[in-house]
Amino acid sequence: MIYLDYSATTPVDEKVIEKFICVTKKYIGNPNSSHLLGREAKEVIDDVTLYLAKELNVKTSEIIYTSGASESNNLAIKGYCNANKHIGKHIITSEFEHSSVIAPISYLQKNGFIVDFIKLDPNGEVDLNHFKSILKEDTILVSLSSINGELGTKTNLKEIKSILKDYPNAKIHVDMTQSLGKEKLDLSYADMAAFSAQKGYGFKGIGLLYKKDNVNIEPIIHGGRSTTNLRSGTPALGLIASLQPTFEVSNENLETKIEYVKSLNEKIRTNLKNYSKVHINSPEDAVAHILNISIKGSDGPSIAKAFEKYEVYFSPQSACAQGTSPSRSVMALYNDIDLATSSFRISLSYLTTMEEIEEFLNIFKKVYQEVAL
Amino acid sequence: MKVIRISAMWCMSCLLMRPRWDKVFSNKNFEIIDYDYDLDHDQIVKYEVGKIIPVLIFLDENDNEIKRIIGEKKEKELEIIIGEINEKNII
Repeated sequence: MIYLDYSATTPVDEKVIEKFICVTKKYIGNPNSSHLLGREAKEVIDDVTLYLAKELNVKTSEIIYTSGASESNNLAIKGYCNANKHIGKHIITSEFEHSSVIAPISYLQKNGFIVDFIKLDPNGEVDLNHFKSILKEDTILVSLSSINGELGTKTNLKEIKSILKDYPNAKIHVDMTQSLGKEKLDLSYADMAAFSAQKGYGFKGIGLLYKKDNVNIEPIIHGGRSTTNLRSGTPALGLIASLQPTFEVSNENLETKIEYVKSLNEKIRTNLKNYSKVHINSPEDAVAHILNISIKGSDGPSIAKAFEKYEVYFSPQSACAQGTSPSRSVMALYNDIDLATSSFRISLSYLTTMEEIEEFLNIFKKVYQEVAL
Repeated sequence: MKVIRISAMWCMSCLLMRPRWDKVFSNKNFEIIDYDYDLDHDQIVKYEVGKIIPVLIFLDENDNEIKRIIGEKKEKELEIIIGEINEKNII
């Protein structure tokens, strides 16, 4: 079996599992309880929050634990826009966001918000002149991902943040789901940012929202006061505790890991140049972990299915997109429906071995014969 | 004359099309019925909607389908299609 879908989810690291088991067995109290067992459980959360705040260079009060990036994105987008609709009702996003960003924005659109979309330049980066042209006095939110989940292109957040200096009402929400374990985390350009542990060798069902203290949002889950009054519910103690080893594993020796993944990426790019119907859609400067490829004349789902016969697993598109439609990201970059229809994404990890890549390339030869000729 | 509009919350094309729909139908005499692709399954199953959304379905006074528009269309394209329906004196 060759797993090449690390951007959809990652296997849970052993240290993460150990931490979860240890904390779950040792601390039985509800962290919201005022007795000793509750206070001990709460201390575990406080320690993890302190670690994460240091790691992300933010304040402990700026971390909100959630069930994952979908909830974080919903809380940021709906929570911020609903709390600030008296200031404005204009949102800017891109056409390439994850469904957990699109859906809350759709919800707001149905409730009277106006949505505009940033265009990309020919390199797949945000067209800053176009961005400036669609900003309005009543723009309250700009919502973008740090890394495009399909192509791996990075968003130029620094420039975007700089432009927003003239629009103090506009806050920037960044879906940083694909950043964990793929690049050095930098929250200095974000007012709010969403993370999910499962993308960085942690558990599914736990994530966090970074929200600057001066950004006013309202909760989307109402209940009693918990670790924050913005997210009610008994804190998932074991899962929250597991975030520390998750971030440790994702960030330790990051540069070395990135260099290694680059060598895997380069090996694939070099080999696939031999195929006339293959086009690498991910630009050279995209993160090395994501490689979007087309086999012209075929279609993404058929290609993924053909590989599955050989026990090679990856996604035709981002795992959360509708299966059969052309890739919007590939279409935007190349304006070629054939490339957009025949694209698929493989995603790599420091766990991927060179032997696996060599085997993948051997299998690619067979699949190419099946789907392209 | 009715128009059934089927979209989903997570669908980018639907997000793009909703304001265009609102604009082109704002000055036209259609009874508009909005359905959610995921939540209104029972109501839309009879329309046999495929995997591509959004979908616009035009129905005559007897609820017979007379036109279906699937996926993204520019505002101008929508105006032309609706104009063609008008020309055929269907409305």
